[in-house]
Parts: sequence; structure tokens; C-alpha cells
Amino acid sequence: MLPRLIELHAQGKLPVEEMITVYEVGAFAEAIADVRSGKTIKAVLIWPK
Amino acid sequence: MFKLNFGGVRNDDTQTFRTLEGSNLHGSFFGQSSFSQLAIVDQRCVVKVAENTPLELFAPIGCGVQTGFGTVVNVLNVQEGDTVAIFGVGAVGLSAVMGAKVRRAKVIICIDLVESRLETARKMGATHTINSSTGDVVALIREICNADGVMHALDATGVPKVVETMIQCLGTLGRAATVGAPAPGSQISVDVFKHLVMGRQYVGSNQGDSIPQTVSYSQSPLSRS
Repeated sequence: MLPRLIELHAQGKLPVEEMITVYEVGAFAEAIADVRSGKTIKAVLIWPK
Repeated sequence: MFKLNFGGVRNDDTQTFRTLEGSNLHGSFFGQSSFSQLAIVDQRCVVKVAENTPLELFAPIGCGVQTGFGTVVNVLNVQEGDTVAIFGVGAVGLSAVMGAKVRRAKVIICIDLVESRLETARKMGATHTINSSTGDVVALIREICNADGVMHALDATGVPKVVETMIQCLGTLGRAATVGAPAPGSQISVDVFKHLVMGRQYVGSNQGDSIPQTVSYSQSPLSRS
């Protein structure tokens, strides 16, 4: 399933960007607050290099 | 399965993390404990992807996205021209919307309480949206489908009352799938007579019956359709 989903995204048929908000890990509290309020649908944390 | 996901240990009871002082720490939550830049997972759980894959976009696909998408293509097996109702448009519900659109469903109805999420759902392919705080969901769905109900439905809320509504929205031979998790032990009530006369189905699914590693969902040996 996952390789298929990635392929669909490359074809523009799986616009996951629409529902993802990326936060740096230091802002995790903001991410939690945004998910609770409904502002963010899916929060993804990244660790800056 | 419960221990593997929530036990905080590997299947052989060993732990994946320890503190700098050397004492063991629980980890492996959901098989990963991914609140970390790197995660230690069982080899069987790894899915290889191309090096240029934007991982920040694909972090949720191994859970929410394959659940919503997989339920539509594997469990409900939505076909071109079909009607679908999706209850709760968080990540799982929106992934179901994308699956229904890929399958060219004619009618994709989304039901939620949060207006901004309904707007996102429309952007992603919903043909109709219903704010469940403002109307009779069952009647509205029958009207939209121009039938005795909808052909396929999915609940991503896990709220028992919503699951009951979802089943009431099903038309003849309609199938509803539960993917939202309520508290263990939760029960719902079903009109048994209607269920039998209309040939309705209510099924559960874990991760949309998806096999994460396979390229095509049609390869899934779990496919029930």
C-alpha cells in the first residue's frame, strides 16, 4: 500500500500537503495546541539538521 | 497485537531504549515511539522508499493515510459512480476522501462539526459536506444520494452515536466500516430488522486491511471484496 500511495502522490492524486502542518520539534507545544483547537489536522514534527 | 502496540517492549520483553545511566526505558509505542528523529522498529515493519521521498509528508501514511485510503479501496471496494459518506474528516477521513476520488466515486459526502475541516474536505474531493450540528444527517444523505441511503460509509470518529447514525444512513446492500476507535467496551445499537431487510453490512477494519509493503492494493491477500 505505501509504495502505491507515494506513487499516487507523485501523480498529484494524493494531496497530503493539504492536511499536514510541519513544526520544528521545539514548537511541539504549539503543535499540540493547534491539533486540539482543530486548526491543524495532522501535525508532523521535524528535527532541524 | 495489543502488547506489540502498547506494551512498551519488544515481543520478547526486551526494551529498545535506555538512559545514559543504563537503566531501561519503555519505548516501541505503536511499534516505534516516533517522538524522535530516529526510531527503532522491527525489521518486518520497514517499508523501503526512494531516497528522494519527502519524508515529512509521508510520516502519517503508515497509519492514518493507509487506514482511510485502504478502507475505501480494500474494505468498501468503492467503484466508479458509487456514493460514499465519510464521518469525521481528520487525517483518516480525508485520506478516505482521496481514496474515493481516486476510485471516481460520484458522490463523496463528508460529515464533521468543524467548518474549516469540511472546507479542506471539499478542496480534497468531497462533493457534499454536512455540518452535523445543523441538520438531520440521515435525511440529508438520502436526499443527496437520491436513494434510500448511501452505498458505502466510513466512521473515523469512533463516537458510538456517530457510528449508529452511519449505519442508519446506509441504503439497500450498503456497507459501513468502522475505523475510528472508541473506548474499549463501547457498544452501539442497531435496528436489526432494517439491517436484515435492507441487507446492510457493518464491518470493522484495522489499517484499512492494507499490507504496507505491497505495491498494489489488489495484491492484498486480506482483500475481502
